Amino acid sequence: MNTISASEWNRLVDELRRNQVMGSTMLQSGAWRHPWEVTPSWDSEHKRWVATIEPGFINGLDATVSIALNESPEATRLRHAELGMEETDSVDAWLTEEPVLPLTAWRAIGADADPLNTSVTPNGTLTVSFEPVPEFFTALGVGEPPNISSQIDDFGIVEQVSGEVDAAAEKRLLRSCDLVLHQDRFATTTQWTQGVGIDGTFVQFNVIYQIPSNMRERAYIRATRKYEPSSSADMQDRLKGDWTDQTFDALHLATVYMVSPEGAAYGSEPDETWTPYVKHRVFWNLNHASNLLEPALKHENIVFNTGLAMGLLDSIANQILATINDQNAAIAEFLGRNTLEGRFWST
Amino acid sequence: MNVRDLYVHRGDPILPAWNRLLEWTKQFRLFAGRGIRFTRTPNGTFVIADQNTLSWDHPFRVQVSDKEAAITLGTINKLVPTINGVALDAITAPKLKITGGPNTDLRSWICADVRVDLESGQINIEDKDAIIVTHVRELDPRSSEGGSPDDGRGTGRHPLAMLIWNTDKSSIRRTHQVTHFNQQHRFIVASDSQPSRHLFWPE
Repeated sequence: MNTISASEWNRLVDELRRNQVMGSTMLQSGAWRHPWEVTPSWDSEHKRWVATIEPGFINGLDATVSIALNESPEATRLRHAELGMEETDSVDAWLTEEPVLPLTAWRAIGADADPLNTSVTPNGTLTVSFEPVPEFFTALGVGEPPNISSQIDDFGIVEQVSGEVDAAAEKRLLRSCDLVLHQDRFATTTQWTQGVGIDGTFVQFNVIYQIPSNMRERAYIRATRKYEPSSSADMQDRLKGDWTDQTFDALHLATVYMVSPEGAAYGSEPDETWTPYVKHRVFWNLNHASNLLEPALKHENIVFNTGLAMGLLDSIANQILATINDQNAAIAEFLGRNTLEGRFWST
Repeated sequence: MNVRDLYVHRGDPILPAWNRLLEWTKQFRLFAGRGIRFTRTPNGTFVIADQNTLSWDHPFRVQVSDKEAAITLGTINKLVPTINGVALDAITAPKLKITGGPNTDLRSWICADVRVDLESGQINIEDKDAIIVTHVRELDPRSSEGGSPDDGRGTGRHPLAMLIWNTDKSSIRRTHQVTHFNQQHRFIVASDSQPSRHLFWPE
């Protein structure tokens, strides 16, 4: 029998019909939310997107966000009541005070994004690269960035733009904003000094521990267009001296994405017609510690007799950098023992 | 199965293709997981996600009612903490009386205090009060430097939950959980200029 009966056919249709999702309802009262969970919402009064963050804790204390006093929760205002601050001054609101964080620093990804990088091949082709659109948003109809390249030839610069240009008007735009957790800590600074010893010139390699100005006890969250992790300075930079570490550790908490309706104008800012999505990267409360708990402005140093005349500090440093010798190893080991580094871990 | 395998061409036998299609459509049946309810109709299904049913009794969960805190069973180095000498896993689970009130910011903490022998750095497993649950008005300000600073007598403190009090300080308005997992603990002996520390991390 090479036929399908009508009843078999209809049974399949019924099965698919019954299982199509007509709608969904989420009953959220009392639902458990993980620490650092971000909930974006449209602030119709100020015409902007804002986020509330489920309180997350570092070393037992909830983190803060920086907002204007006149936009801060009642509990924050009470805490600052006797400080005589202006209404527009920024204050640190604790997350347990339930502040709302304005999201205003958006970066474009996709069709109207700014180029991320450019590169030139040996044959003179200039290629422009863009931040890729996450696959999830491509599936939602977000347009890909244009494919731009320029060729330098006898006719001058020929620019090629390819991609779904015609379909661009039907595509959706994408914006994103990163939420980053910061925890202040002491910083290390390195420097060389020189002086005259009994038998000749000596140089001294110093590590100094500095307390950041306005060091905060609590961790704090900042919304930024794009989180760029700081690249750790290599040993050579530190050995050159006059190097200062950053005075905080940072952790990328979450990225808030906004997807436009179809046909949004290039370069437009997210409004209430856009749809928010959040990608979380941290789900638990945290501890933070530095590898050393050194008092501020404490000095550690190591001294080398060089036998060289004064004024040759650069030469000495360069010589140490250029050669693998005992002094180099001694400094590296000294630096390893005396460099401050912070770590987050979940609790 | 690759969805492209469902395509047919003129002249292909229909029944094998039909059976492949039937097999493929089985994936569209909806199954309700925990906390999910369906309202099925001939024309489709409504999905209701009732997260009220998703109660998570994680270790060290603190629930406060009328100045008493109930703490679900949690362990530190596999050892069970006590409240007034009664272990958290006792048949009648002990409750912590919350005395002392909040700090000036209307905050206080439920904590686990871990006591070690200062010479060995180890928890004395014979001492049933080596790990106790306490209520404190303040955390040691040195906590912000990382780890739990030792109190000089071998005790380190790990916050389990923060309590937020009403402005008249007579009752507790809200609880925020800090710890969600069983913990491991290690005592770091003081060296040079560095003070002794207690480190906690999830098991």
